[in-house]
Formats: sequence, C-alpha cells, structure tokens
Amino acid sequence: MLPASLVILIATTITLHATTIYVPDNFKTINEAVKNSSPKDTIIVNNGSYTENISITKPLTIKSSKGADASIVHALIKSEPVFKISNANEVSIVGFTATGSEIAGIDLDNSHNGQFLNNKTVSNKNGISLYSSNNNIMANNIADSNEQYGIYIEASNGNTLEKNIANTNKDKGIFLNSSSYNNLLNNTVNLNAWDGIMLWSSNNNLLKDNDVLRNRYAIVLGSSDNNTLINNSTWANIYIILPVVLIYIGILVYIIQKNLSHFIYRE
Amino acid sequence: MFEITTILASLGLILATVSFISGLQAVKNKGSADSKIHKLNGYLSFVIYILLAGSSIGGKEVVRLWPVAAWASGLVIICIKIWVVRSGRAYKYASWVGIMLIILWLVIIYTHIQLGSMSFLNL
Repeated sequence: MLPASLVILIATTITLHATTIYVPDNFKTINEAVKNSSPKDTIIVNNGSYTENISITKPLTIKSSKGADASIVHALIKSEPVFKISNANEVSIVGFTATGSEIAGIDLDNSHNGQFLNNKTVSNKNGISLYSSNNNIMANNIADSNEQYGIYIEASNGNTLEKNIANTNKDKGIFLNSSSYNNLLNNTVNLNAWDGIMLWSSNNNLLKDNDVLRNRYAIVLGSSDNNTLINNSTWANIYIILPVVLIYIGILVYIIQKNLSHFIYRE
Repeated sequence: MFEITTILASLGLILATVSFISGLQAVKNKGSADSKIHKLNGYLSFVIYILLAGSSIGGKEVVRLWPVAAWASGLVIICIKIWVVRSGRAYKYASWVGIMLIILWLVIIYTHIQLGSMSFLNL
C-alpha cells in the first residue's frame, strides 16, 4: 500500500487539480494534513477530539465533516492559537470547535479574503482575532465565554461579520480597534462583562440589525467617525425596568379584577 | 422581538402579583372575592410555571442537574405555600411564603428577559 503522502502527490501531479485530504484517514492530525497539502487543497476532518495547534500559511479549505460539536480542537501549546493563519489568502475554516488557547481560537495575521463559518471558539483568551487582515467573512460563528474578547479586530478593513454570537465574554463581545469599512450584520452580542460592541479609532463601519443586550455598555464608540448604526437592539437596562413595570401592571390587573368581581357578584 | 418564554414569564409575574395582593387582602378582609381572585391567579401562574419549566428543561439536548434542581426548588416553594394555607398550620407565615413566590417570579423574569433560554443563570 502506498503511503498517503505519495498518493496525494501522485493525485496532484496527474490531475493538476486541488486535492481533498481526509483526517484521520490520510493523515492522523490536522497539522500533518496541512503540512502535506498544496495550495487550494481541501482538508476534510472527521469527527473527534484533536489536541494540536494548526498553523496555516497557504490557501486551504479545512472543513469538519459533522460540524463544530463533533470536531473539537484543543490547543496543545496553550500559548499559541488553536488555528493560526498567517500571511495566507483565501483560507476557509468551517465547522470546528477551537478551545483552550491563551491567545485565540482562530488567529489571523496579515491574511485576506478568507472565510470562517460555523465555528465555535470558546474558552480561549480571544475567540477570533484578526490583525492586519482584510476582506474576510466570518459568519455563524459562536465566540462565547472567552477570557477577553469574543471577536477582536485590529488594523483590519473590509471584513464582514454576519450572524455571529459573542456572548458571556469577560471583557468585550466584539472589539474593532483601528479598523475601517467593516460590516457587522445580524450579530448577537449579549451578557458580556463590559462593552457589547466597541469601536475604537475605527471609521466608516456599518453596524446593522445587531442584538446587543444586557452588557455593561451596549455599543461604545471612541475616537471613531462616520460609522453607520442601523436598527440595532440595545435594551441595556430592560432587565431592571421590566419587572417593575410588570408589578405595576399586576396591581392594575388586581384593581380591574376586584371591580369586575364586585360587578359580577354584587358584593 | 420578544420570545415566547419572555412573554410567559412576564404574564406569570403579573398573575403572581395579583395573587399576592389578593391573598393579603383576603386574609385582612375575609372577603370571598379576594379569595377567588387569589385562587384563580395562583392556579394560572402555577400552570405558567410548569410550562416554563417544561420548555426550559425539555428544550435542551442534555438535561443538567442544576436547572432541574432550580425548577424543582421553585415547585417545592409553591407546594409549601399551598400546604401552609390549606392546612392552617403556620398560617402566620403565609405572607412570607407569598413573598418568596414573588421573589421566585422575579428570578424567573430576570432569567427570561429578552434572551429566552439563553439566560444569565442558564436555567
């Protein structure tokens, strides 16, 4: 039987097309598959728990076969990100749980035009972190319960964050730092210890249809200009007001019922 | 905008408030109208409590001990309240148990506001 790497090499040479690599069928670890892949290859990861730090420096698509709940990647070296994408364009990571890193679940550095979909980045320092990375799409990710930020974006422009969830992080839900022309659409950002969404020194961003509830502060803008905020829900203090209103309604309902009973029973 | 659990919890707090006030008035005035209002609103809020508990526990893939214990504790408080009033024993503490029911509903409303099942206490 030919070694897996040789099979892949032959397949790549003959077809001159992108190859699909399976983990753990072709390679036991995701990192091994990444190292032995060529640009534009697709790596399909079967369900299971993997303990490793994955470094990506070329255009690749890495997908889990059964979604984020079935494919869980724990950081082997905690001081490194679980997925580190550096100086690589058009990287796609789809359907993983990335957890246990003291840096980030998914970390992009100078990487552009990528897609990060349906991932769960929980219990890291930051869920998803972008530095100097432009025009990436992050959608349907869950970045909950991280030590600092759910999603942190620094010096990165033209990214789209859509339908992500960033709840119960210990600092901010989504933090844009010196980043412009990003679109934040339909995200859910609740119960974070400080700001739901913070824009610092960030201009010309679009925040539309986001739910930003029960954070210390909902949407905070500092040194930021020309940002567009449309139809965001930021009912920061409803949880204090609503019970009081309901008790008042209860008193009114009691008075109404009392008068009704007087009317009906003629007491 | 609001989820069904938020609406149910809000309705539950309103009915519990009505039941609490009418209960105090029933003890004070010995009026049958207040007693009827107390019972009607008490039964309705109990039904809503069961619906909320069922949707909360049944709506999760994995049933965890902590939410079940929390909902069961609430049920115990409701049962104690009914027992205290019906048996006539410890009747003087009935209003205190009533206050506990209001606090119970405040906890429920707080955990169900806006976010539905994704609540602060994750019940």
